[in-house]
Amino acid sequence: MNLSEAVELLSQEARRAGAEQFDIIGQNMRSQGLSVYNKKVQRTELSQSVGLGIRLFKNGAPGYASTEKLAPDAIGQTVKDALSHAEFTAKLNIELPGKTSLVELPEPWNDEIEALTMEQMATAALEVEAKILAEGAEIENIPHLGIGTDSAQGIFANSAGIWHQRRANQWGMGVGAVALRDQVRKMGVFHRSGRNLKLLDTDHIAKMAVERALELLSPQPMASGTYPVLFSHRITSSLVGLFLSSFHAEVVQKGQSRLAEKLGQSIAVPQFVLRSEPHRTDLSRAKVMDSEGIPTQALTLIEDGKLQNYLYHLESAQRDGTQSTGHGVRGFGSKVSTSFHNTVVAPGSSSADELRKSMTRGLEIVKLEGASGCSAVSGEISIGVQGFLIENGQRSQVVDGITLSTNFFDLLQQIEAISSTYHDNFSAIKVPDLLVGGVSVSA
Amino acid sequence: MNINIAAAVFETGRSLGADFVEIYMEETRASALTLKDKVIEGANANTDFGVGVRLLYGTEVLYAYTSDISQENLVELVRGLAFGRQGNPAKYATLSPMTFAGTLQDIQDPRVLGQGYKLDFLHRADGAARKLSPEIVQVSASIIDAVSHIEILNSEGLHICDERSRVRFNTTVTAGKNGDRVSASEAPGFFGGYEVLADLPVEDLAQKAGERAMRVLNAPYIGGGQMPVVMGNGFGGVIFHEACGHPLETESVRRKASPFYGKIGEKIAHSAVTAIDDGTITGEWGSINVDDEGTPVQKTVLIEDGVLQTFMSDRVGAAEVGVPLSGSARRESYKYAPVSRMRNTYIDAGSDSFDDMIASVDDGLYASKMGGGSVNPATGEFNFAVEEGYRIKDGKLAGVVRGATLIGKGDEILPRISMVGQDLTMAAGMCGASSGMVPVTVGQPHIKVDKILVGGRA
Repeated sequence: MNLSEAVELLSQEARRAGAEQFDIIGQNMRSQGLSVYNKKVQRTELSQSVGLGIRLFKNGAPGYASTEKLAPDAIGQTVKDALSHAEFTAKLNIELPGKTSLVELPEPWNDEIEALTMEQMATAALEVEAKILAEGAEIENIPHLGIGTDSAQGIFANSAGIWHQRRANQWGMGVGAVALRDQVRKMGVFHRSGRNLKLLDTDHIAKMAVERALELLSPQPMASGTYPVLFSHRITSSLVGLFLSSFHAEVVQKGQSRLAEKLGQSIAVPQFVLRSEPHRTDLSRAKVMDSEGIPTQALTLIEDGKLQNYLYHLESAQRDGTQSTGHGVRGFGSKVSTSFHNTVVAPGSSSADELRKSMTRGLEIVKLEGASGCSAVSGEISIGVQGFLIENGQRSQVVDGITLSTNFFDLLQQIEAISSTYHDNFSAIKVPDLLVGGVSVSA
Repeated sequence: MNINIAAAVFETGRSLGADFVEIYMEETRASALTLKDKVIEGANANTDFGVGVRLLYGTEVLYAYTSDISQENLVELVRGLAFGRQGNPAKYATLSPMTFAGTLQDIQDPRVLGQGYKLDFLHRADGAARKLSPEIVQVSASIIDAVSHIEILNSEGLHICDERSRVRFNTTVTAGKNGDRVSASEAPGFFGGYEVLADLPVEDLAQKAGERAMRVLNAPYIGGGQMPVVMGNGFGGVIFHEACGHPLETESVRRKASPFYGKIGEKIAHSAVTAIDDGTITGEWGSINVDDEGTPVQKTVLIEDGVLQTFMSDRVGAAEVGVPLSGSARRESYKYAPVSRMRNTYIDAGSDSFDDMIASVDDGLYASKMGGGSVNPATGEFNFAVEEGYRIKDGKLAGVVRGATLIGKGDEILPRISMVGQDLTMAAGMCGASSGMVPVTVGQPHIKVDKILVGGRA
């Protein structure tokens, strides 16, 4: 049974079982990849998998279930499971959407990626390894070097008549190279991915991995205190990404966001503009329809420093008596939740270099160490970082073994400047450098 | 698994020169029920199903997985995986009769009792936490379970079946005041069926989480700096898990991405430290009947009196590093090739008392409840959040503090563990690495680390 047939059978079973409404997500995924170590291919992987999930409504209440087994008995059991779950959940007054016109975007697909062979990938990875070892005398080891491709075909179907198919693919290469100097080891990590195979530039990938492995060697101690901090565009996406759930209406409704009751109020400096941009095809999460069949739309969350909107899916919109903003997300095995599609913080007018030069004394942070001291609920940030001490506009020394302590929502009000420089990764979030005043540093 | 299909897969692997072929078939039924703010917010059930095939050429790993277990597809998958390979491996062994490593006979099977069985436990937790204070603004409670049927067959003749069941309760309680929010959780987990829920003190767990959330909500931020730290028992063991456990897996050692590479027999920790990874503890969340390569599970002493004894190993890691198999090969599901992973990892009980540890510190931190953390095994750099801490002043506890983070390097911290308590306890967690997320237990008695960098508000 292929995926389309399985989605069709699941629809029939749901109707036969008396579901009032339902939506189905089917996914068919393939991947291939390999890793190299010490001039040899160490591991090769090939995969194909399928998944089928349903949300159905009985007496107005939703029930979910999923299966990776595309067989009639498993599909029948999935409907039974979903129906039994609908007995536990609360009634929702939502109506699943019918067919509507959608924005036309280029298909996120490149046939050249499908044609990429294991041999070509092995050659590229071994080239990168050789170039790294040739470029850096202090490179001790390259424990992580992998390359692969992923492709997925998805079907969204619902009881109101939507049948939407989509496919997407991409390649990716990641390197972790360890440099050693004076008994101190540092790992330089560089990752590149996308749909454009011209970016699979082994010279550039090797050069960046070496640069990042070497740049944080020879750290020097520094004093604890309060410093202005330039958060590099290399890490701002990760940092801001930790707190994006605060903008989800469902999180606000559950009392888990500090942005509750802040609509229209100032929550950031005026130059900080935050948007969800689902139609930006240069970013990795472009989509025309969300996981509930709602057409996607661009949405401004922060403008002029004020909170303009929350992100809604059908259920959270119903609770607030408003419309979904088309930000429902769901994998075949999960419940509907909320997400930005592509997240963009608007650029400022100065480059990253210009911002650094504007600093008399402060820190430039290029590496975050974990995020377990950060809480999206409280906004708390307590995190290990590595980077550079900046004096008179120049990097004067490497610093590591330090922690920053602040609060994300305070940080938004303490931004002194935003750069015009973004990282060049193929990702779903773009945030330029942020220069923030008065951050507490423990060393 | 149909034996004829397995034979066809083995024959295909052999014709392509593989030294070793392994088939891992899995069907897992997982379900979860979540109560949030007195209503069921989530009810879900998933069936994961598929086969992973691993071919070894020496220690080079080729791995493929699929949900389509037809002979035609599996043979085609192996051909694609090993395309262009050749060789002349020794004749493969005949499959042995199937044996069972574990069965569900003596447990209350979650699939039979169903999701409804969980409701009462969830409501009890909710009610208990809400009684605490008006500062409790949200309570969620969930119970997840997963029942797996596994079959492992390999070209050395192994044919073993394992049935596994795990159940985990989680309650997260959020306290709030003046726009500030703090959450705290308790999440015990068990290797077993629903029988583990019968005596579970869900009210106590919910109240414990709620009380901690309120204490932290009303606490001042800690001022950071280098200081001695007394680390709590139980989940405090996460620091050893992350900072020392991962670098003691052959998966790190074989790539020389471990500060402990080549150090077996050397003193790597204070002599007060004995560390163990034990997959055999009955009912523990991280226990297993057999590992995911079919190797019998064992108790592995990693560090004894400060001296490194061995590493946790899988088949490939054991061969490359030159240590015995420890029954530590694990994977999240058929979608991952197995690698060496921790099971129930703990620092063994010592002889010091908690009171003596606190009394020995003039100015430091008692990290009573650790949060999560991560480590880079290649550099040893780690970071951990402290969910709840207390300042220690002049040998006495001096009030709750919040916002602390611990950072350092694993191999530098081990020699600084100078006191090890008698009160060993264990705590459940999930561990993510190259073979996916697997259930693990961390544990330790209270321990004192003489110096560590504590991040806070200077």
